Formats: sequence, structure tokens, C-alpha cells
Amino acid sequence: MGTRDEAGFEEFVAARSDDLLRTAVLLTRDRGHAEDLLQTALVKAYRRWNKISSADPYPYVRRILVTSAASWRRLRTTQEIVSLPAHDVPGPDANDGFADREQMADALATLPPRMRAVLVLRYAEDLSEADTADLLGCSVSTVKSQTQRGLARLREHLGTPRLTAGTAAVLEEC
Amino acid sequence: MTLSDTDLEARLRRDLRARADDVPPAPRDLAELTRQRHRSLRRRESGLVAAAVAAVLVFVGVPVVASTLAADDDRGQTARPTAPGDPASPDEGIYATPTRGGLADEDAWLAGVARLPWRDEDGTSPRDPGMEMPEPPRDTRRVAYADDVPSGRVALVVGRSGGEVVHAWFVGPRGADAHEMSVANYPGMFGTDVVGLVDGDPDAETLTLIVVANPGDVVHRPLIPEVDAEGTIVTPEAEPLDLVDGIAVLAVERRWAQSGATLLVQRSRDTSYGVAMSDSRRVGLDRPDIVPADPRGQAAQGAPSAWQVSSVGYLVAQYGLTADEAGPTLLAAGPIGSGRNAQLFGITFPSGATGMWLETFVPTNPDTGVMGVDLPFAPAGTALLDRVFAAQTLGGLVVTAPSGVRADVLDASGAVLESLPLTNGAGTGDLADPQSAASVRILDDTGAVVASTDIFRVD
Repeated sequence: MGTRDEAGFEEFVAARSDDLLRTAVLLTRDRGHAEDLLQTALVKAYRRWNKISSADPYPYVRRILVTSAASWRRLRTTQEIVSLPAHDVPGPDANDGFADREQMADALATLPPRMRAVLVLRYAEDLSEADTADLLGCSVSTVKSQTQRGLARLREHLGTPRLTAGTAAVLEEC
Repeated sequence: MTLSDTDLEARLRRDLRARADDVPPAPRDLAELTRQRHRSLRRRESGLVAAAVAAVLVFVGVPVVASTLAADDDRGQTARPTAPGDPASPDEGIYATPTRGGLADEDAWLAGVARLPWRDEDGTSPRDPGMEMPEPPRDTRRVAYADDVPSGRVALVVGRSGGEVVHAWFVGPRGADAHEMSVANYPGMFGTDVVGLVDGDPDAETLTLIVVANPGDVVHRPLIPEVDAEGTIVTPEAEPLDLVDGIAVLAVERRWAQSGATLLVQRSRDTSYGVAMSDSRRVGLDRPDIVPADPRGQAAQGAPSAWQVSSVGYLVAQYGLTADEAGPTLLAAGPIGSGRNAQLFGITFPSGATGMWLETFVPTNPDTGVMGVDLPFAPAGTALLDRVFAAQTLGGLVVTAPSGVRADVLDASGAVLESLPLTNGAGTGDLADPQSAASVRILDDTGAVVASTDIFRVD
């Protein structure tokens, strides 16, 4: 890799690694796994840096990130961290949506990796169905069906909602 | 009423973005870390290719040697740098580093251990039947470390599976023959090229920690935090390990090993990775299930399930305490609406300070998991059962007080919004107007106010 490409890689990492890390956290839920996943994707991209023809390498690196996340091996690279309830200390100004987000994160974590990736790309990254299909290397109809099945499973895990005056939707028994 | 697809999609979008916004920035030295990892991988791959070419030349050019190698498949299974036909040359990382430890020269023994199965005889993994486990081809395996340590004989075997370096620990009695060694735990992947094993007798309070790293690595061992009399968590400075040629063997307390601590591997000035250790089956490190005391009869409101019991054990163990020392107690339990239950329990630290945790779950659908939240610790001077506390979560309320039969929920102006029944000072309920609830007052059976407190909002 020449000097100019090294500089380009530096610039890319400086400019986009925060975005990629955010996506990685949504895909893995765990910060440690996410950093490992991000570095894995960056190493793969670095190897092919001279061959990336696009002016913007971000979609290419994001594709690597998302497809790498689906590998079961990634889940074990930091070894056997026992899965236990997340215990967070809420501060006095704890966000009102904290519990909702945790609940949603719990539900997302139950989905298969590719189904989770579809939902993250569609709803966090705002990709179209076509762009999501292109990124994941599948058909648009697959993205549609994965989206519908993913939402259905989220609904199942979140329980049946109710509406209470003065609040957003909260949950109640199925 | 059901949540519409539009609402569900809106919530998903909102929650994902909010979670993404909470993610701290990526490490500043990420580009350099990436280059380091790339260089390390490339050198390993170059070494493998070169060794494979060398092996072919040996077979083609020196048939006598080749036939000897083929007959003795002990060769090439340990990281002996001069062994002809080795599938990998010494290079970087544990996989390519020559065997370390006091048994490094025991070629036949090492080869025997490298041949041992990574699964139990019935084909399952040691701990998780049905879980997919790597079992690298034998010609990729080598022993990275082997020695007699205070807990017995141990060996770290590494191999390549699907392009990844994988490892498995083997243990046996001191002086064990290779066939007396057995896989200590399920195999694992390398994340940072540093691995650790906790080993020892099941009834021993002092155990052996074996750490295998790369020469020059910097590894620390975090120590167990304590909670002082003010209720403040005091975390001792992590202990640097005295690694010699990348190896450390040290005595550790069982309670430290059970605390869930991870090794910290320093990769740069700003970056450290946590590495979980393996524990051998014979050491018996599984945390005991703990059923908290239930002096108020709260379990009848929502009996703890297996995972809740496990959760209590984890919380007690992370402070290096036993159930006898911490006195875990169920303070309140019951439904909080939305199909969810809550359980509030607490422990008393040796300093006299007390800690409480709140867990919520869907009893009819335990697969959705449990959400646990640490609540503020209280200084010494107030017994756990004497604490007055009210927590609001998921639109419900959980109350604990020394006594009382009713909790009035008040808004900011002091007006009563609603009341919850209490049993021995404890209760839970669904709030009709959670946004307005500001405080509670506890009343006894005569209607007298016996305690009051502001509501702690968990969410």
C-alpha cells in the first residue's frame, strides 16, 4: 500500500469509525464485541484498500462489517463471557427511554444475526429495501420477508402493547 | 389494543438511534491498531505458506525423511521451531511461538496431548451439549504451553479451524501421561492472543491461575471491588502480572475467580481488552445458586426462577462475598403491570453499607430475559430491611419499608394519586399516572404515616 493510500485509510478511519462502531454496537449489542468486529472489518478492508474502486469506501466497509457480524465465530472471539443481565447504574438524570431501549435491545438480541442486520440497516441506517438487499447480497423479497418476520418476532418478545393517556405506547400482557 | 406496525417501526427506529447516540467514540488509535493486526495476520499466513512449501519439498526431495514423518504423526503437532515438516514456522503470536513451560522438551508427551480429542467421548463438548465446537485438524495442532503447576499438569493446545486460531486447555494430575490428560473446558477462540485458566481442587480456597500471553505483553489482574461504610464502591488498582516469557502462574483466591473478573490486556496507551478466563471442570467454579431470604413472604408474589437465583449468585460473587456474608434478601416482589413482574432484593456488605437491585421480567415468557438495575447503595447505619425506598420502573412501582400496610403515591404538590397495598412494608403495583408520581408515604394499619420517600425513577 502506498503512502497516499495509507493517508486515505487514516482519513477514512478518523472520519467513519464512529459511524461504523455505532452500527457494530447495534449488531452485537456488546461494546467489546463491537470493537472487535469493527477492527476485523477494518483489517479486511485495509487488505483490499488499493482495490476499492468507489470514491467512498464506507458502503464497502459497512458491508464487510455486517456480513462479518453474522458469523458465529465472531461471538466467541472474546472468549466465554457469560451472558448475564445487564446491570447499569442509572444516574439521577436517567433518560426516560432507558427501559424501553433495554427492552428493545433484549428483543433484538433474540433475532438471528441476518434478521437483526436487516432491521438495523432498515431502521437505524435508513437504507432502502433495495440497498439493504444489495448490501447483504440477497433479494429484495428476502429483505421484505426478513423485515416482516423480524418485526413480528419483536412484537412477540415485547409483549402486547397498550396505550396510556399522556404516555407513549407501553406494554401490557398478550 | 395492539401496537400498530407503524408505531412498532417508529419505536424501533427511535430506540436504535437513541442507543447508537449513546455509543462512545471509537478508539483514537484504531488505524494503527488495525495495521498492527494486519501485519500480525500477514506474517502468520506467510509463515504457514512457507512452511507448507517446505513440507512439500521435504516429501519430494527426501523420501526417507518424509516416510519417517508420515509414520510418526507425533511430529509436526507441537510448535518445535526446528521440526521438519512443521505446518507452521515460528512467527508471531501464541500459535507460532515455540512450546513454553517445563514440559517443552517432552516431544512424545506433547505430541500425545496434541492428538487428544477436544470433545468428550460421547462427542459432546464438556459443558454445552449440542454447541458447535471447533475441533481443528490434528496437523494444525501444537502445544503452546505445558507444565506441572500447583494445581496439577496443564497444557494449552492451539490449532487452526476455519481460518481462526482456536485453543483448548487440558488438565491432569501432576506427572500425568498424555492419555491421562483431558480437555479442561470447551474450546475457545483467541481474541487477543492472551488466555488464562483457573485450575485447582474443588474444595480448595487457593487456586492456580495460568496465563499464556505473547512475550512482551502487558496483562493486569483486576482485584475485587469493595463497598465502604459510605456506600461507595472502592476498586483497587489492577495488579500487573509478572509475566516471564509471556507466562504467569500465580495463586488466586477462589472468591476472586468466582467474581467474574477478567484479565486486562494492554494493547496501547489508551486501549485495554478484557479477556475472560476459562476454568477447568475439576475446579468447580460454578457459582452456587442462591435463594435470597424472604422474611416478608414476598416470594409468593413471584417466586424466583432459576435464572433469578443465578443472578443473585452473580451479584453476590462480583463483590467476592458468599451468601452467608452478604445475606441476600428479597425485599419486595410482584406484578408492576404490562405483564411484567419486579423483584427488589438487597445485600449487606461487610462494611455495613447496603445495596439493592431491581429486576424486571415477563413471568409468562422468561425467554425475553431479565432486566437488572443497580440501585443506589446506602451507607452503614440503616439495616437493609429498615431502608425506605420506592422505585418506579416500566410504569410500575416497587416499595420497601420497615413496616406498613399501604403506600400512598403523591404527585409533586403532595396530592394523593393512588394507593398500593403493602405486606410487611413491601409491595408492587401498576401506576395509573407514572409521569406524575413523585413520592410515597407509608401508612400503618391505623392510618398513621410511618415513613416517606421520593420515588427513584429507574426509567
